[in-house]
Amino acid sequence: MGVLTWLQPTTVEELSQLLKTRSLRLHGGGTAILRNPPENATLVDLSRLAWDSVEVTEDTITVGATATYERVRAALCSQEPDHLLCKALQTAAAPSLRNRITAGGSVAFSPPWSSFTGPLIALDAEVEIVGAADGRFPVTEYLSNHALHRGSAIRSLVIPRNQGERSLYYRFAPVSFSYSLFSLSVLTTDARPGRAVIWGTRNRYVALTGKEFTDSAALHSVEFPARDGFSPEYLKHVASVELGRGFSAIGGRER
Amino acid sequence: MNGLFLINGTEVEIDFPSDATLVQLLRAHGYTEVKQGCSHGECGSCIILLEGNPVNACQIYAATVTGRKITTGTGLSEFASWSAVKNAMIRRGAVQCGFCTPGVMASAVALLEHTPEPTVSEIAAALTGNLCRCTGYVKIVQAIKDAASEGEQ
Repeated sequence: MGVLTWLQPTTVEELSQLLKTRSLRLHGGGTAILRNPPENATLVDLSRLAWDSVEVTEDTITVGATATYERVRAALCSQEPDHLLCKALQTAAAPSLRNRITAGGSVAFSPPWSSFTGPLIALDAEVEIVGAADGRFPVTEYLSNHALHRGSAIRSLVIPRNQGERSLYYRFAPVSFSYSLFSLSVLTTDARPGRAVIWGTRNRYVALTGKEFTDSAALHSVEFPARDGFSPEYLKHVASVELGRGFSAIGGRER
Repeated sequence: MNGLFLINGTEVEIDFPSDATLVQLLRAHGYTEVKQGCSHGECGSCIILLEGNPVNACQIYAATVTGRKITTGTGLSEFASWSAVKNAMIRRGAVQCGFCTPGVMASAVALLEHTPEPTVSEIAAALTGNLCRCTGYVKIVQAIKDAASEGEQ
């Protein structure tokens, strides 16, 4: 057993100071960290920062970094049951895990089985960061730019709302309670042609826009890893079928 | 390290290793009704209530929940639905080896607190984190449905 040093800031200022001066790991709900427990590390417990609110307004949905999946689901689904994120979180993990997995931790970790990051990309969400990289950045930029991770912490997620959103969420898993092997988030709005995000591909994710949907070869270049006994070819076939069904189901024009 | 925990309505000061999970801490201090199964948050045998919500105690560092309300199987009697759930579980024969039972009871009580009249699919969804290798779930679901009906009367 290793020794962990726990720091529990209660204000943003305290956290910012810690982020400047120490090499440490951030702890949201702990489910990601406990998959590979660290030894002799310094952990910053973010749970005392009161960053767990979920605000739904006419223009945006703002999710605090330590809001749990279940908190987001409960707040969003009561008001917006057809929202893409609501559909995704209804199927994400078991309630006992949804009560611990945090929004910020989920984006920072973004595992292949994530039910959260794919929908966020489809929705053009941004992450608000404090620390060395202070500001708001698209989720896609946060995922690709590791400089945004160092010495910084996600404070919230900001999700724009669009007129006429129609969406579909699909996750492929051997059984309902197991990790998904890939997920599909499909979204169209009044102002924008369709978009689909396949999360869990070999390069983490693929985002397809309306134009690409007119090209039946769009998925040919998408590679899936073999996982849990399912071949890459099989996973690609399922993704292709569900993509077509998804667009038909929400009245997409592109396929 | 040292911390003050609020377990089953009682404040308890505990010395514990800094890397202890909540299930390790609870079992080391006599709360052996909290079972340790897979330790990966998949089997649900360690499910307890944290501030009234079901969580996997194996997926929580004890250091992060000092001062927060923890309810194990033996503390569930503070909830209104407890008696109905317990009696229905016995009546329906929904307990066999019993290893999953404390976690199932915690999930059931939490469900009925938030959703007093759950549908069968809502019960099934609430139990997705509880694996039972004996009963096949049918009797457990029936028992929770019975307990909900009893609560209505």
